[in-house]
Amino acid sequence: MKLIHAKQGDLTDEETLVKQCRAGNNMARKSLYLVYSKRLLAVCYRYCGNLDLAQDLLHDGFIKVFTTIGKFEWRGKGSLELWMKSVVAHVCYDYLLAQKAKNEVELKEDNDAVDEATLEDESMAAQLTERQLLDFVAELPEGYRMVFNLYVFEKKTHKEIAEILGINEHSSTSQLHRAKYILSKKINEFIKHEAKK
Amino acid sequence: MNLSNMKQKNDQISNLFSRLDHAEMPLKKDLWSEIEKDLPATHHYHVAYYKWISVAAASIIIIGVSALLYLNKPSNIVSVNRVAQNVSAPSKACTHLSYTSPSLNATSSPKHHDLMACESANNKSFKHINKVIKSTEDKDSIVHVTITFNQYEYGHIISRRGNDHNIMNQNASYGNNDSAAQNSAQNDKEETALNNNSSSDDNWALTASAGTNRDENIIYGVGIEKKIANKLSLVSGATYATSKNGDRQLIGIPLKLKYDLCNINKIQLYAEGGARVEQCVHNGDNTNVSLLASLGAQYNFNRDLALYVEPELKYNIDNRSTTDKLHSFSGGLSCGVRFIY
Repeated sequence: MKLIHAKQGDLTDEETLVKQCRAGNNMARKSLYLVYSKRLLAVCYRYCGNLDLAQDLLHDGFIKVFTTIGKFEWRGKGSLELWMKSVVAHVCYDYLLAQKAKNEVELKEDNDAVDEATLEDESMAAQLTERQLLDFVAELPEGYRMVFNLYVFEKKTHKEIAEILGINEHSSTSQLHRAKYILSKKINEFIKHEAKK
Repeated sequence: MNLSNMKQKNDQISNLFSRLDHAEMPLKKDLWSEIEKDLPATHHYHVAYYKWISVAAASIIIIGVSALLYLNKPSNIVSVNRVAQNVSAPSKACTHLSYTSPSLNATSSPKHHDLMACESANNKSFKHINKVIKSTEDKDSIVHVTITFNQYEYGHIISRRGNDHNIMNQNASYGNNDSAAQNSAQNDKEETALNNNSSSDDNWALTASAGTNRDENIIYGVGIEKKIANKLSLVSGATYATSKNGDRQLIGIPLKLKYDLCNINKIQLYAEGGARVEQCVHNGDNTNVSLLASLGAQYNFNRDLALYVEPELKYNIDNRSTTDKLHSFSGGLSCGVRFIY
């Protein structure tokens, strides 16, 4: 069946998939799932830092995608993937924000001086695998991780991040820089450790 | 370190991690089935629109084909031929004859020999039914036109239309004006009674239908009904349905009891209840068992042909679907044509 073999970037089939999903066609839904699920799982993992929880959030994310796909507007190549990522990310940070007790500790405003984030060996860092990079993000403290994801991947401004997370803009900036510092430190240590082997 | 250098070094991280935009991770195998189970029912307003059109189109086709078959069935053709044969036969006593289709308005002398000729033309696959269609009183004589209808014999079906005993009774009245008039009136009464009681004598019916419900896009069905008591019939048959998503096809066997509620002129109301077993024959192998309850309204065009609509309530008691999550309750509507024998 044509729909099963739909590939990302194939405009006609992507549009067809959307139409069929709106009509409640389960084959089309499954096709959409097969094309994007692995990518969206990585998004969930980036946000929550736990693979089991990421699978659960992906489940909720797809339910949200299929129930709100009627609101999606086709805006050219890649728009469907962007929209799906946005929906799934929304599900993730909504969930994380709902864990209030945890987040109140993590999202406290931090006015300490921002440390410098520097990659000592950029060429070695470029050779790191996607999974290794994902693990580094997953290991970030939850508040930093959310700000980092929203800023780097969702392209949100600090103002928007502040509104989403209920913090002030300065705190968002500070947490982003701290996240980057932690990441650079982890990458540098990892590269050194690998070099010693 | 100045601000621009610091920003550049921070961007090292952003650039490095931007690779993750298309990162993928392996999934657990059964995640899709879990998602599928939790998918809510979708509202298909635009789909429903086309669905109703397709039901209407299917109904029109069924009615059209049925009407065509009914109008061209062999018994009618033979009947007309017989009428033509009878009325055109030479007779000494023939005074006046006219024929207007479809009803007959004629006067003629009794022609017993014509009737006998008809009978001798019969073979085992035909049976005679004798009816006095019209009798008019002339100055000098009462004349009858006797028309012999030939009808294919289907078990006891023929019995409600008349029998050899009737034929003999009617034939015996010819030549006697008074008794003929009485007999004619009696025959009229019998005919009326026959018409009124036709439904009680109709033992079998065949149905063809098209319908839809909340879970299934369109359902086509053929059925057979057998009267088992005065107002009670046993209904069975076969259905073919496509699922709401259009990716599954199901074959079903219903078994229902039909109870005749009332007759108002040509409209008959009835209630049905029973169960249907559906087996997915395309894109799945699940079996679904459902309970059915419906109210039906039937318009009788004549004793042989009726149209009906049936609003139906369906309860899925055993939903093993792996591809569709069916509702526990679903409403539906079907319409079709009923051939009564």
